[in-house]
Amino acid sequence: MTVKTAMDRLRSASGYSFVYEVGDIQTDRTVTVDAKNLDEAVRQILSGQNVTYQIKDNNIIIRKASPRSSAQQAPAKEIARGHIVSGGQPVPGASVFVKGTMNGTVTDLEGKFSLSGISRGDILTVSCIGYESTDIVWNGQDIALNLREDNEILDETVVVGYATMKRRDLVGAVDQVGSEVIGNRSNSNLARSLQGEVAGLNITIKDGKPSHNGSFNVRGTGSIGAGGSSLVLIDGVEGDLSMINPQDVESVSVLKDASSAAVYGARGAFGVILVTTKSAKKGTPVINYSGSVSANRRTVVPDAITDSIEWLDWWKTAYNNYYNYSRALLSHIDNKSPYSQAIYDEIIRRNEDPTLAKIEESYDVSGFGYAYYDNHDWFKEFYRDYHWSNEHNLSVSGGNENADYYVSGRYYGSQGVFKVGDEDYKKYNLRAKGSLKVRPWLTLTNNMSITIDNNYIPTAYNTNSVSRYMQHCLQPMAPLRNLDGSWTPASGISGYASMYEKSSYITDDYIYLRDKIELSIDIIKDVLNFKADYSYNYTGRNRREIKTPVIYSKSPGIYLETITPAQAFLKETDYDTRYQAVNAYANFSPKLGPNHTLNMLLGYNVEWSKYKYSTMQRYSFTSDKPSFSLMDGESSITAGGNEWSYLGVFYRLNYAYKGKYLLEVSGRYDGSSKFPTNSRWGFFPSASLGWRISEEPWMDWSRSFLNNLKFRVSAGSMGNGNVSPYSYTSEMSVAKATDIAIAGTLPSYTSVASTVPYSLTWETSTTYDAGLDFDFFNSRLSGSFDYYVRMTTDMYTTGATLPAVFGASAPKGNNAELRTNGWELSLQWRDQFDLGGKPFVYSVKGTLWDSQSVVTKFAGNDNNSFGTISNLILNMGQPDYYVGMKVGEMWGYTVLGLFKDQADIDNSASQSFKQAVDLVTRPGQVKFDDIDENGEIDYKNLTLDDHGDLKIIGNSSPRYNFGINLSGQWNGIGLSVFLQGVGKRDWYPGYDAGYFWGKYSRPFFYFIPTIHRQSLDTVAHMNEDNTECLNYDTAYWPRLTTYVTNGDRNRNTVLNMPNTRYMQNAAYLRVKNIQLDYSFNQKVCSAMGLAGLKFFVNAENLFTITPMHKWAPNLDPEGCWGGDTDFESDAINGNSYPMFKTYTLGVNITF
Amino acid sequence: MKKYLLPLLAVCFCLTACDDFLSKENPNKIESEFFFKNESSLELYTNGLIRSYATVILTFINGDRYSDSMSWDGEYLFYTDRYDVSDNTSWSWTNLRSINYYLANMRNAEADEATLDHYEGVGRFFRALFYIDKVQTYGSVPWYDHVVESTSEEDLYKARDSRAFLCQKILEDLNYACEHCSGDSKYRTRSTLINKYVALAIKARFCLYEGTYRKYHTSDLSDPQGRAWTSEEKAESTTYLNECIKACEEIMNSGVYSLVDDPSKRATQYRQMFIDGDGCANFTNEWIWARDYDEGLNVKNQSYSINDYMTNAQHAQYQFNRDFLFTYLMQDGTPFTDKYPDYYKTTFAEETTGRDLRLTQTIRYPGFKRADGKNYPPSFVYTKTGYQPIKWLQDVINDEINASTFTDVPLIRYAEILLSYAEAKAELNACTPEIWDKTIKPLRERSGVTSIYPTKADDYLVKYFLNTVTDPVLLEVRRERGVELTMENLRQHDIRRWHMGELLVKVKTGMYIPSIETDLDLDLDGTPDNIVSADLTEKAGLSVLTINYNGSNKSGTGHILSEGDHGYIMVHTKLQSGYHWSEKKYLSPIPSADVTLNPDLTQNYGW
Repeated sequence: MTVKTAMDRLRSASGYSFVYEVGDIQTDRTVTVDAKNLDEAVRQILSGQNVTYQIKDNNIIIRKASPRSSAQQAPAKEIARGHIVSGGQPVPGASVFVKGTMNGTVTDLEGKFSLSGISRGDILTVSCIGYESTDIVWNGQDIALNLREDNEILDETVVVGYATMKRRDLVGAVDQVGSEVIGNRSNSNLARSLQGEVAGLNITIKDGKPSHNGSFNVRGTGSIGAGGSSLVLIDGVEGDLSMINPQDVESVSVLKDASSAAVYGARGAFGVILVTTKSAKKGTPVINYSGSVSANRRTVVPDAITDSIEWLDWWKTAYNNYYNYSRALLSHIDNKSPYSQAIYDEIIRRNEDPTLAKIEESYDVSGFGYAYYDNHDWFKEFYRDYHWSNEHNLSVSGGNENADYYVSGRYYGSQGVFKVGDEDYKKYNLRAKGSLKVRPWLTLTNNMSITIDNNYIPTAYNTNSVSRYMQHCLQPMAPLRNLDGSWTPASGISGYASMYEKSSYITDDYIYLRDKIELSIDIIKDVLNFKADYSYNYTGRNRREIKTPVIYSKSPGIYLETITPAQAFLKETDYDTRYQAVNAYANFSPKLGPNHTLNMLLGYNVEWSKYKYSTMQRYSFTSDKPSFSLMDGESSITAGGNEWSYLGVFYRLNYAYKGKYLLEVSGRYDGSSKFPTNSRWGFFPSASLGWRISEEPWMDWSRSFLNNLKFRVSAGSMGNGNVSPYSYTSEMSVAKATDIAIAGTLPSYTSVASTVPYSLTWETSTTYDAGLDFDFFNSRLSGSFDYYVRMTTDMYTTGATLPAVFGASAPKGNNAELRTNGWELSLQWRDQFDLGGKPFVYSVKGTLWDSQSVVTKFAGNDNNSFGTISNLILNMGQPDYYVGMKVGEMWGYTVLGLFKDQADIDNSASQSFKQAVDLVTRPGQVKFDDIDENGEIDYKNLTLDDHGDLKIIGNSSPRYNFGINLSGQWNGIGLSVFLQGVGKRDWYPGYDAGYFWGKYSRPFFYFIPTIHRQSLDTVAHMNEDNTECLNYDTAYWPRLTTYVTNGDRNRNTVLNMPNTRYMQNAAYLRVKNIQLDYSFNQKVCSAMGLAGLKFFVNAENLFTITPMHKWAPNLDPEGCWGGDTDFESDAINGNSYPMFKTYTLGVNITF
Repeated sequence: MKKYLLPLLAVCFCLTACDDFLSKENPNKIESEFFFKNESSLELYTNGLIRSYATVILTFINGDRYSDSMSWDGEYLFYTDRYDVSDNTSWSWTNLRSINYYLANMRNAEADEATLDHYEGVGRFFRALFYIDKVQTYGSVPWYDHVVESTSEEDLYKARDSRAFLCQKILEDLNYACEHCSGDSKYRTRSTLINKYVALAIKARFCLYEGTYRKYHTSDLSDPQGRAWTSEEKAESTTYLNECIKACEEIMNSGVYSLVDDPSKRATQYRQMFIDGDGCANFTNEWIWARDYDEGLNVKNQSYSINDYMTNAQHAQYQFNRDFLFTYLMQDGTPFTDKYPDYYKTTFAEETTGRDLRLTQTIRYPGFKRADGKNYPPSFVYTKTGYQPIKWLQDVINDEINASTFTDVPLIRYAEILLSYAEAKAELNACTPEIWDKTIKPLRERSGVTSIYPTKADDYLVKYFLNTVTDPVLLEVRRERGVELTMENLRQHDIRRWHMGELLVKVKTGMYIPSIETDLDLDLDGTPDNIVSADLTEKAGLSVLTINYNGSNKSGTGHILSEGDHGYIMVHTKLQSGYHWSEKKYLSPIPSADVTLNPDLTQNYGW
């Protein structure tokens, strides 16, 4: 059609008229117009004409563009003036910039501005928070511009189950964050960047190992039965947050209540995390590169005593106090270094004269032929001060009306924390996404990704963790090597030598292949749409463990092996998961006139997964190459795996009346192969209502400041079928023994068939949610608040306790209930002001949330027993579940102080704890509160009704989680700060928590925290004959005695059981991320031939405020919860792989 | 892709297929009803039963550690008055479930009748073993010969069956096993499988226990009131002793087993049985049932090295009681205590000279050497009494805690059969010289001791057994049993069935120390190696035993010398003073949690 026809049509369709001087445009040209919005339509109509336009009120004003030649003639610089209003009110603080330059200013309180250095024909960009940004051509006259209000937040598209919605129409509890929170944070995986960003999404990062993901749940503990965590969907298909390239992420949406997650039915009981990857940008291909390099340093660097004399003094005192001087000192330190008074004196002598060797040949009764006199800092020997990681990303995106594509690749590489052994981590991501419009009504999309993840982990020569061995072996007296160059026992047995020689290690390699093909059919355009997709995901993992002996020596010429060559082994496990899913669903949105909006979704989902693994192990190497073919020892193969399938039909109906009364009903009918036929199916419905009060006519008075006020309520239920497959059949397995030989070979064996549960069906979680969303002052202030109650019923747990004669643990059944109460609040303020003539745009966003779960029914514990004392201790004072228990609660004793003297002991309740070998309580030891006043410190029957002096002294669940985002941009400079924290959480140091307890745990522990230094007066001082504690009222640490946290866990070693004095407050506030960036303006970029250029520096975990650091400065409040089983398997001892501070320097270039 | 997608969707929409689609079978496990198919299934299952009867050396040694023959470091709670019902947590019935499940289903397997009978015998053998342990620990318990269902109130809340009934059931099971289990050599491979002779040997052990228990104990402690035995119950003592004799005779007459005895190796052959890497191959003639560990297969006896437990001061806590060591005879067959009437003053050298060769194969002696040819004197740091064990101590000198031990463990030896036979006979006053010559004599001879049929009670032994036994033959049989089987986890059972619990809590004694603060040369190499001292300063090159003398109060555990500054060592007097024996301790309490759950499960006497 001609330009003229197009203009007329546009006027009749939109009401906008064209205003122009005849002759400025050719109206008889032929143009093709196919546009979604006004602006696009105008541009298409005017394409090819040398004009500019401005949309003002209902007019489209067209002016002839300045001839290009004049631009090159260095036009005269003038001053532009203008007045910016909106709805008759002045807009102060709006920024006015000459497009593509740094030349700009900000409007004053009356909305007026003047800007110099401008030429006629320059385009001015006027923008302000809360208004749509507008471009205007300056033609020499004063500008009067009316800005349109912007509802960016309300109009934001939010990804919900199988669809997207405008935020204004949401009735469920849904939160979404965009790529800006992931941006340039150089994290190995997405979970680390999401922590603290979404209210209600709890992400627990236990350590800094790059391959580690952290665990996450939505709104707290969901089930104490089958358990389970949030469902993660990547572009609609179940996936793992650790496998996605963070730079590919467009948005992450969290569906928190039953209403929003109902279409995921049985999979979404504990919330759904929807990750949407970036989609193609149509038009000229855009190439983006970003790269960064980071230095990583421990968040806490443990500080230990490395002076041998000081170390030995501590050892002697702790040891002698434990045995009450009844036992002579040993002639060696845990068989790692010899000890005698002569050696002690010799160390003093050699310390004074540094020219003397730290080792010499010396024969002694303890089996050593060397004496060691070193002051060795083993910690530095094992660990790096900092290590490097780097990241490179490249993406290309482009396309036209009929086809588009997005291709990206990423490399992430990191060294590890160990200085010895070349720990290494590498990750590669590749994504290729493309869509093709086969017919105007038919779109075909394919989304493929590959993730490869390679780990090399140096280890000790056997299966125990390195950190544990370090604790036991690395006394400062011992050097690395003996005189003849052989390893010392400390190097050999601790695993240092294995790591150094790279003779024992683990490789752990993953490959994730995912492909999703999707078909979208517009049966009736914008009314009825049908989509179907099919996904195939393959996850392969190969883990190899190689353990070989190391030779070390205690005496010249005599060499020992850490393990026998027959015990050296190669163990290889292949894991293989094949997952397929099909979704088919239709969206129906009939046009029902201006007052009614209706949207219906009906869909079908089917998933099946096949998982298998096989482990091969063989002993005894014949060569250095770790290959099964080059081994001659015993071998074994085990295999396992399972298969499961789900099938569900779901629906959702959204109805809105005049945009103010919103209704949503949804539900799902689900079947699972994990349940027996008679209890296989479950129906999980939900409904929600929303009321946009701000849209009511009687709220007209508030229009000037209130943009949106919405009240929502929802109720619904969902299922949880996270039980192991085949639980309902009685089965027997066959295994090969490794601990006994029968008739000369390793026998295969089996035992009694598994018991069958009483009942096995869906756990149901029912959520009631009430929420409020609000936006004030042109969306400068916005926020939302939710309160919810969630009841998890039919939890699959052990049934009622059966007498032991049953001979097996009581069969499980659906017989426990949990209630969770919680709330979430998020508030955001965004604005801008004038700073030095340039706008300073800033925002502050805060989120705060909390939840607490209480057990409301538990069949497996009729007499409210806390379980065994050893379990209680190993679980940091957390008892077995009983009705009324708050999840995470910790029981323990109350400490009154330290005993001053014998009289004090005599006047206090008696205690029979092991705090010295003879069980005698002495001055300087911990005094407990006899709560039940029976004259004895005890735990009685260890039940709720009879628990003696125990009481609730803490809770390990994180409470009052919060995140604070601060960001500002000025003149191309951006600064953002993200603070994250937990308001309340308790941690009790476990029996082997050497970084906390030092010598109080074990006499040979190499680690003595410097905070224990007696000069600080934090340790109990005794008088000469050990009968009185001199600083009983000021000291924190008790009488220096070893084995007081460790030992016989059945009989209660004195500090083994949690108590109030040593309970640590693990609340923290952490500066998770600070980022400073500088973006070059377009002119500079164009001059370099780039579309964009940005440099950034950022720091993760820069500093931390936590009350825990008063007495536990060697531990990280996030990292003390245990995590990496290749590093330390016990969760309570704080020996996790460390958390890191990461300093990053990076660049982002767009071509 | 599109081509496949639509048909795939069509299939999925077909709801009739749903239930098939949602039915999955475990690829790696057998549904229980299909398990028992043939002889291999029986072998597979019984392998599991054999495996569950796990024993490592440490279990053996620890069993004897808390008896009269040895002492230990640290407190043993059971002997204190603080031990109560909440302290017992070892009331497990898991193995019985597995055994009864096997017995209920094993005949589904297809095999010939004799094979089925053999394997039923194996199952019943393990049920007997299970109940023997329960009866000896708890007295009477409920009897189940079938799997207890989670819904069966009747079974779950059943009352206890009487000791007499249980013993009869155990005997029935054992008799079935003795009769039906094959004695064929293929079931005797490396002494690791269950066969007729293993069943007979366990039967002998059990019957001797029950026969003497009924004889020496006056009442049934499973009864809350501790009622006296009925006359029938008492009379069964003889029945069991006779059953013991029968079982022993069957083994002895079979000719399958004999004692390991090479006259040229008498100074070492006894110990060799407990340190040999391949005892299951080398001692099949004496070992009736054993546990096979193997370095080649990397099957470890201990996850920690047994040497570490015996030589590393940090962990070592095994020490012999001097009173017990006095019972080792002189090589001429006479008591050591006769030779030295002032025996409490004898020196270490005197004690280790001319003795039963088993003594110097059980403890370190002057001149004891290890593989490196060096002298290894006993050390007070390792062993408070000075009598440091070497039975079980490996020859290799890798004493690190992480080193592994691969030594095979004999669970029941032919020597025990001879001893049980002699004891049962002696209890019935029928241990004639002829019986003696078949039993005690060969045992003494292979240890270099002249065998003399006893006619006069040894005063020391009479006193040792608290003047309750005077029969000279019986006393000698008991002596022999103690010496031969020490550190083999039988001593506590023996003491208990003899009703001698007081012996367990006696103060344990050590070497005679002529003078405190004086260097000792225990290996007689001319250099001092040990010292007993009340002073804390370190003594270069000496192993120190710190004692409490003259109010020095340095020994928190209360080691003292009998005469203050000299005399024999008395160890752990402080802890020992808290130990008391009482009648109720012959049985353990039933855990309170279970008594609460099932009120018909009455508590044992005194608890």
